[in-house]
Amino acid sequence: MMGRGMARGLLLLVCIGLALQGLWPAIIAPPASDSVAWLILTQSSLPRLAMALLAGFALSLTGEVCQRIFANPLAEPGLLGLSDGASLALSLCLLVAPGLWQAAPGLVAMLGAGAALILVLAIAWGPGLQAQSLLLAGVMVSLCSAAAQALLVLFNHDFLQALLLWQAGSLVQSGWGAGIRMGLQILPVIAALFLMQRPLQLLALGDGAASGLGVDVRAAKLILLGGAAWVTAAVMATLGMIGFIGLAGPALARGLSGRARPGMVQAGIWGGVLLLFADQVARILSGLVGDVPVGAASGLFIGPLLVMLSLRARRLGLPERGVSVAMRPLRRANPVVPWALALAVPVLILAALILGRDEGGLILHGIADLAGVVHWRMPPLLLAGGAGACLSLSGMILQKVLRNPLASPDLLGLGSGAGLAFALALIFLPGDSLISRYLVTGIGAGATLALVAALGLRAGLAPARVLLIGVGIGSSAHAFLVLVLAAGGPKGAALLSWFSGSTGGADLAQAMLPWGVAGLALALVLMLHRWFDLLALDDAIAQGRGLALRPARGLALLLAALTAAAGTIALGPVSFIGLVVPHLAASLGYRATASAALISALIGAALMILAQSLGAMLAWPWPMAPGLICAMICGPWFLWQIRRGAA
Amino acid sequence: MMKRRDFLTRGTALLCAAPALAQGPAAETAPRLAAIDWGAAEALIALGIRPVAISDSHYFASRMPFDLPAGIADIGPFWEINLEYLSRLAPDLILAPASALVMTPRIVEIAPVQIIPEEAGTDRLDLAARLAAEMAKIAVLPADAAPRLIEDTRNTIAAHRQRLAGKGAVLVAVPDVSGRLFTVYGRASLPDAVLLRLGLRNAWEGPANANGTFRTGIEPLLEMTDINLLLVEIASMRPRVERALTQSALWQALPAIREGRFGWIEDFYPPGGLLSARHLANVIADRLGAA
Repeated sequence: MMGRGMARGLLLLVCIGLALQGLWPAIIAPPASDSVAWLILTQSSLPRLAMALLAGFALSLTGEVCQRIFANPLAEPGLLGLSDGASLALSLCLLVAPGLWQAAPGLVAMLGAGAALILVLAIAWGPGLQAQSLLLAGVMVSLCSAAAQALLVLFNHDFLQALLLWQAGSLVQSGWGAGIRMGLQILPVIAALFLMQRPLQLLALGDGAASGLGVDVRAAKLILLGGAAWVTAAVMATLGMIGFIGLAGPALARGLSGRARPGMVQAGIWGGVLLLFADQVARILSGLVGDVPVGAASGLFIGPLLVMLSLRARRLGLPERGVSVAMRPLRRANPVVPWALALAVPVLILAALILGRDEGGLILHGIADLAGVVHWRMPPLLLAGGAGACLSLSGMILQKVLRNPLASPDLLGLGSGAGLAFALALIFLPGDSLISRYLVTGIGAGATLALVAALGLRAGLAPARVLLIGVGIGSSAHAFLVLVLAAGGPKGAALLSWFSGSTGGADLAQAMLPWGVAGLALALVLMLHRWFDLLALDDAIAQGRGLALRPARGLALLLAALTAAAGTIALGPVSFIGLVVPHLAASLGYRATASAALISALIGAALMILAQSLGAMLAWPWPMAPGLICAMICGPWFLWQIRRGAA
Repeated sequence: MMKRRDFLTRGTALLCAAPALAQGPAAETAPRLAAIDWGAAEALIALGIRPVAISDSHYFASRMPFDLPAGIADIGPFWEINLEYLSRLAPDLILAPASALVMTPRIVEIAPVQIIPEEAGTDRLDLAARLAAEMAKIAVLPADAAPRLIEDTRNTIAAHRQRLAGKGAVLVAVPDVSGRLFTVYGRASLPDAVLLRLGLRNAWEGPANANGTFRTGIEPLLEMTDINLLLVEIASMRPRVERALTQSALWQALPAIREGRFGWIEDFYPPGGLLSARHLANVIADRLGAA
């Protein structure tokens, strides 16, 4: 208790000290009311302090609400697609109705977040509003809107700065207006959330217990989620994305109070203190190196926090049995499917080589053009296909081993690690000393993999912990990346294109690499498929059948990581395909490891080849990243599948 | 606010920035040049040469103070050049930044690649002049083509210098859409080099990165009395920026705003070359000279 009291006191003291450091000149010599110093004090410093406390309180409180609804310490409103929905709405509105944007950007962001939430709820609507379906739908809606947003940005450069700024979230204020407007929007809703404390506590006991005690589970969840979404959207519309507090505020409150479930007020207050602290550090740094946005800066701490959580939390096991997403199944496997898919790959490649575009429009290439066409088009096509196979395999393995239908290669943090290495090299190395982006991203992915593996070993290779570590390191790397990008000027666009999966730079040798990795991994999976089947079932059965759990799991994770790295280096972190394709294979009736691996690899390759050929033509002569096209094709289909399963 | 095209049409012979394409070399001797690097593209157009292709040519046109000559192909963004299209255009030489060799190394299979170096820390106008001289050589222009262009630019600026003597300091900045942060141009930036030649003080004397820029909040600007503030317009952002600025109490309190020493500069690309420099000098002269 002593220790907790001291930690609390120390944190408060440091925060007050930092805030005073900024206000000090005004305190020792109060400025005249018409001076510049007075203006800065009353219109910039004080509103900024107030905004930090208010926004931190609101974000942390809604984080706590979501974590109780989902009974999951990683849940936060951002997982429901709100932030990406709001961001997409802003960009779209700017493009088609700049007048509306100018009149009420806050309203547009709220509408976007609201639309995303309604979509998620509509998809997951069913008895009890299952947490699994909600999260899955939320993640998919969020990925889809992020992809659409990335396409908009690539074709409208000027948005890039706005997008980065939005992602980097800043608390810099120039007056009281924004804070007062935000307060008016959120305080009534927060008051209403307080009135819902009792049903919230009952929900945390589980849906069954809650409804046994007389709670209308669906209505309660709906109201709570709606409230949390409203508050989050209002804060985001005012400040941009500040993701860290929703996770860290409640965690800090838990740590400092020593109780598993701190009260909502406590979570809120410590969230406010935490954001104040982060923002004051960012303020002091900004004077030295140029503006440091607090949203991105505080994101840097997510990694260490999650790693700590994953190493210390006592109960963090796997689900006893594989959680299956409610999806309409279970067609019988049709023996024609593998052959059809195997044929689809060369046919799609051929089609992509014959069809083309030039200044006049669509054209069919004759024999005369063929040499040139093959020379230029073949490597990107092959690269996309091979990387698609790699990422799909990786996703399939992860979903089996982690018994988690939401697992996907990007959760290992490799993509962000590779992207960060690339960003640093592009911005800080002199232009001619950079040899190959494949080398740089390979080093980045390798280093991240080593870090995740080393920490994972310390956590005893427990899958859920490894996942947390991966997510943590990935988010820290991503936050760092946003910081680098925000300072990086026009090179940001190049990085963004890598992030959305550009393929144009590849030569034939690079294009064959992911095929090699995919082939090897597939062979290994086929040889060891019994292990994977057992790992996917449950620990007791697997051990009963004589499987050494840790080595088997270690090998499986390593395989997943290597295929993810090969795919990521080629395409950037195209999380979509690794997440969706295994579900596609399952919906075709292929669930056992051996057949699922084969089918997943084939589907991944075929989809990415199709996406690559579409992407080369749609906006010719501009490229559209195959990953984004794939997201626009698969996303709606996948959402439809979840909908059919949830109903 | 005067439009940039007014500058181009009304000026004296010295002010005439519109490139004269008719004076280019005879078609059969002219090499076909593809410019991935915008600096090279601007220098070529200033010399009256029409490249066969420019990367991201539409955005290039929207940020430059001149209209793009017709018939220049868009070969995609600088980070992912459309190789198949570029090879069909069959250039004799590709002018590219070093990063193009990282993003799309296969450009070397299409034609020889001339790397345009990114020299940070040097005077940007000198750098632009050197680039123009090099481009003139590459385009096989008469020996006096580049010196004439450089001399014209110098004369334009020098003519303004006399009118502007003792007019105080200028701050060139790009506001962000929130109206709370500003990218300012310090040492080793093009605006700094132009201000120096105009005999004016660059109001930003604080830190700056290798490209000569720094992102700052509005507070340091409040301390700057007696400066002229020029905001660089990015057309698609302007409505949002203006909205944010009019709502900002701190912005309204800036000395330059209260005293009406503020203006926008349109079609200006701060990392640009000689034509961009000339355009900036004209805008500054127009703002300050009239006051």
